[in-house]
Amino acid sequence: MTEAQTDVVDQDNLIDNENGLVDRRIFSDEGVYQAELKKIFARGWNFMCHDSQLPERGSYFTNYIGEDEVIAVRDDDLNVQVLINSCPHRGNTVCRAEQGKARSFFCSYHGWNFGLNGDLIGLPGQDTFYRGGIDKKDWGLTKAAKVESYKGFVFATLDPDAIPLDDFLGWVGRLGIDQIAEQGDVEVVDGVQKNIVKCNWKLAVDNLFDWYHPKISHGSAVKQGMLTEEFLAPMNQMVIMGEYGHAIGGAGVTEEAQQRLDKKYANVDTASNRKNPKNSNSWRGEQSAKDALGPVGIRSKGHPNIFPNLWVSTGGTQLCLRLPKGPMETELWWFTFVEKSMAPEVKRRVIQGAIHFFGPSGLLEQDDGENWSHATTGSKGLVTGSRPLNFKMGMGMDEVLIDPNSGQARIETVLTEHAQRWLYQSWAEWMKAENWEDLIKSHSPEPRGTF
Amino acid sequence: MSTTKSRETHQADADQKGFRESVEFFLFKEARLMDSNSYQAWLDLWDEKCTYWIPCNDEDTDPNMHVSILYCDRRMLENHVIRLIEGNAFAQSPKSRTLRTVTNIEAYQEGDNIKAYSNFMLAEVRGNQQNIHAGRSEYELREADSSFIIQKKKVILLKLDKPQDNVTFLL
Repeated sequence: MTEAQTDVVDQDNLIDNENGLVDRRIFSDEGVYQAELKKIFARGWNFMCHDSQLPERGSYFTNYIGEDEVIAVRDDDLNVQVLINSCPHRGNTVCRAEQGKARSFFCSYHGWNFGLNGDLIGLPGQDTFYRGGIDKKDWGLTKAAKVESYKGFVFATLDPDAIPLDDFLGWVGRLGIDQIAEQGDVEVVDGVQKNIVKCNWKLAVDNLFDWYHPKISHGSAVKQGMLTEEFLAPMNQMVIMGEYGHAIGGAGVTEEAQQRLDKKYANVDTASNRKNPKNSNSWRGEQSAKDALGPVGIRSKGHPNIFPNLWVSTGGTQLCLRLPKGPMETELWWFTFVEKSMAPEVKRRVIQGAIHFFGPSGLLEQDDGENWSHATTGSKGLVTGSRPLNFKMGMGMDEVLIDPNSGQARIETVLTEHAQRWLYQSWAEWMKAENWEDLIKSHSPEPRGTF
Repeated sequence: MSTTKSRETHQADADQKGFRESVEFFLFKEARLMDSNSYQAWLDLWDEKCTYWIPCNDEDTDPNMHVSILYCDRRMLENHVIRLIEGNAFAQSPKSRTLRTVTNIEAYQEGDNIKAYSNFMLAEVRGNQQNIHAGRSEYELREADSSFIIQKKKVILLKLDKPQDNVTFLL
């Protein structure tokens, strides 16, 4: 018999990199989950919203860092502030809408009122009851330690020692976001779809790299003729792995195919291409996109995940944020993007395409959620949970190739579980590190050689 | 709300009892087909040119420019339903058992068009759990072969702006 589930889980030995094994208790254990909130979510950079969701002074969008609810708001100086949504007096939330516009945040319990930058600007009874015994500057809303953005995508961290966002993202994280940002002047479509799945958040992340499951899990979409098997399980796979756990996995365009595409889109006119794109890939023909993505990046059509939980999905049309709600429950938030100058008919097509495949009634999403739920539930069983999961596919069988000019590294191969192994290996490094200083020193560099 | 306003402008219907009963019968039949997973028979209630809409966040959005939970023409509706008929739809393996109560039915004739409104309470058993889904439906129908054909249906879930559970069944 292996160690019983009821024992305190030894958090340092849950991922076996040598053998491609993952201890299933990471999907259900409460202690592991509490450590994740602290060491991954509070410490890391979390996606808050896109600039277009905060168009003017006072515009706000509420989101989460781990289980801390936060308000991303454009302040009087038009900077984005990220404030913990909890009044420091008795803890009541100061904002109960998901998005909107505010002049200040007013606590409905005792009337403490906070400015758009979180400062306490007024409270009843300051002179009569507190009699001068309160200094307003000490009692503002708690702020995220740092707020930074990359090409309009706003992130926040609760750790003052966090490295700058740009360094955290690295070229792989930036390449992931570029899949949306380089399409032009993009904006979030009104409305964020949300669904809830009874699964551990990591299984949802693991799945986005998983091109082994679609032909089976999404068999109904193939049968019904909406998607081809080749689309669901592309034979040319490219895996890109970046520091701190970012990765991109999925279809790769071969160099030969890319040369044909380059010719096809050689004289593409940016303005008309954005207004009336021939298809969801024609933006890749624009010189600015090629320059930003680089010679390898332009050939990557896989799924990027910005560690820990931000999936750049649906060919750069959507972002899906996987928010943990306890070890065995995850909320999926879907942000849909369009280029501002797109013709209305094209926008309509993009939006419809997105909601038919993903989101609560998505043809693909529905089947996935059910699989993740059952996989999560199983990990609670004493014996069931004691058998590690197998992530061995392709392990040690591929070489990392490096583009000599750009230095961009990748693996080009058949279906593998490289990106998932990288995810869990990185996860273990975040969990083991005591703080940022430790993580900077101890995290794995980008893989080289045989992987 | 717009729904209430448009309802108030409809003509009086005191003498339309027979008409309303036939609409009620149709909506009850639709509910039974949905609860018995009679996918093809349910699809047959729809017009060749139809719109099926489950709004997200707010019921008064422009479904072309705002995300929806579902927004289908006939072709997309068939895609969603055929997926459930063909098998391999693992989100419905095993199938949810559903039972819905359809109430508060109002029906109005406007020329060749019929507008109908109903509320529903839907109990769903899935796994070991029983879930409750509630909402309103708005229909545009036309008469055909002594029954009706659905031209438009809009389902306003009570929790349209909250995170959705797996809703892979007919609404």
